[in-house]
Amino acid sequence: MSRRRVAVTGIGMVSPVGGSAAECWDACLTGRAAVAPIPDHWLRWNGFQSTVWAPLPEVDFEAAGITSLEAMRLDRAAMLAVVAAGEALADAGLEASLADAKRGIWRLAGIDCDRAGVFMGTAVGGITTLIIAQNSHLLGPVQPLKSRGEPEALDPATDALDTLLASLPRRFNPFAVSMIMPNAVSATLGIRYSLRGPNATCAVACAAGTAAVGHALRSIRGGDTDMVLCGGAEFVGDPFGGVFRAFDTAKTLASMVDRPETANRPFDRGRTGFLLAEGGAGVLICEEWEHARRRGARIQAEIVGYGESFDAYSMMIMDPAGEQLSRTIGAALADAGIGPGDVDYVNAHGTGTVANDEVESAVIERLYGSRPLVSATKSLTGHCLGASGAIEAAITALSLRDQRVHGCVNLENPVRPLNFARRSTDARLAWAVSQSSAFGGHNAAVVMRQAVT
Amino acid sequence: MTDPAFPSSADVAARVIAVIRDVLALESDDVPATSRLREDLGADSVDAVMLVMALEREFNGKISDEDAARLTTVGEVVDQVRLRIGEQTLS
Repeated sequence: MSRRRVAVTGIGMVSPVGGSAAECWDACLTGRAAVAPIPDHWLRWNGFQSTVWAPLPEVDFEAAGITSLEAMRLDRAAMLAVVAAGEALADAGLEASLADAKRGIWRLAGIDCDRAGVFMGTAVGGITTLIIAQNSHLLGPVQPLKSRGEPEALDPATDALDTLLASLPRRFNPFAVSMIMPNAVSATLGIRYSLRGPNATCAVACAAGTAAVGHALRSIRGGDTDMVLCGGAEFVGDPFGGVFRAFDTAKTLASMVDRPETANRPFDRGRTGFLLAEGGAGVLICEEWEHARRRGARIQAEIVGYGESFDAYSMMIMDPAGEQLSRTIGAALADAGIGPGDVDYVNAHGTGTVANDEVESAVIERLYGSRPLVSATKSLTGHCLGASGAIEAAITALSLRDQRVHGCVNLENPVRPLNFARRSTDARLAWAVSQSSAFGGHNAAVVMRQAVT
Repeated sequence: MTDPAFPSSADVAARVIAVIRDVLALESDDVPATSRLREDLGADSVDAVMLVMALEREFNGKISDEDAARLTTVGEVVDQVRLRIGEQTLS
């Protein structure tokens, strides 16, 4: 008996380069990268080695169907996931109708909700809610304090304290627990769309989005589900840059002093680290092939293989030998029934850290050789952590659909002579791989195929 | 002209009822002051929390948890908001 096939029928995205999948894809193809100075007021707390990040554009959450009441009980990561999910469902032609206005529950027409699941990735869950709640908790007793002295004579500590006090919400959010927990993103989507099949959160840091897509493939292929909403969401734009500081202190961020606007340069010899994104979300609607065909859905790409492994080497650095990443890709290709020579495009993890790009490029060279086109979406979007793998899987699906590959921004002196796409290019693409590695040591790779019946 | 810092009693009642309707997704605009939040309007404990947050936002004030726990009818919510708004505006 032949295996159940998995179609991608809908794509939604929010990232620093755009508020929708179409905007993000267009920005990638035209090379509009996101990079901006970090907010000035963060410098009241700390001097940073890196001074740039990739902020999100303004997102109109109300237009995306999130009421102002819902916004009070959702972390921004979950809100971004809702925006991307709504777009992906509409893109898949799945109509949602309101079933319970008080709880914000919708039903999808023509979907057996017991056989529909959710797999979402996140690296840090509702960390922004945690930080704000902790600020409220610690500063509650001193909240009545008013600033002392004339504005021009303010000492930095008073100034910092006043700024912090002014930022505090009216009350410690009573929904904090359900906003902080990492599974809030997938639970939010499951409740919102009445999806009652398997609902799980892949918390494997920067490989989370990729793992979520892979687990969606396995769930549908294995027969547990006919439809899965999968991807990843992240938001780390806490009010005072605490998360940014954590990455900055760990010396992982791009810190080019003279030309910060070009600091984000995956696979370039002059790279210094990754550009942290404020957040993002990517959602793919995956369906069993015949399920998608029966309802006349447009199939944008097929997901055909998945592999995952663990370095068991270091929390913060990839195994320099790259053996597990290599084994992961090999397993994904074997799962797809193809060899490395069949791959036309590799959407690389490509963070821009010295270690990742050194090891990953060596793995790519050893495994695929110099034939397939290679590009790094993070050179445009910055690093969206747990959302990045989902955004990159979505970009890979769009590459297969449109037969186009976006370029690697700021790539001037490649670390290795791979077939890097320097700018966007038309290409004949039958098979593509999106691969990710993560803090902790997680590796994940998905193989996709151009949609052919 | 009315001073927005001192909304009229009728205005406060209308705004409180609008918030209650919004939080509980009530379709009817006939919400008598005697309606009980739980028994008549179907509020659960999560709705009660949401209602306090929504009222605090609407009226830019603070309702203590102790006061909130005592509210059972729509009329009591209106009275509580009138009382608190008066206090906080004057203080």
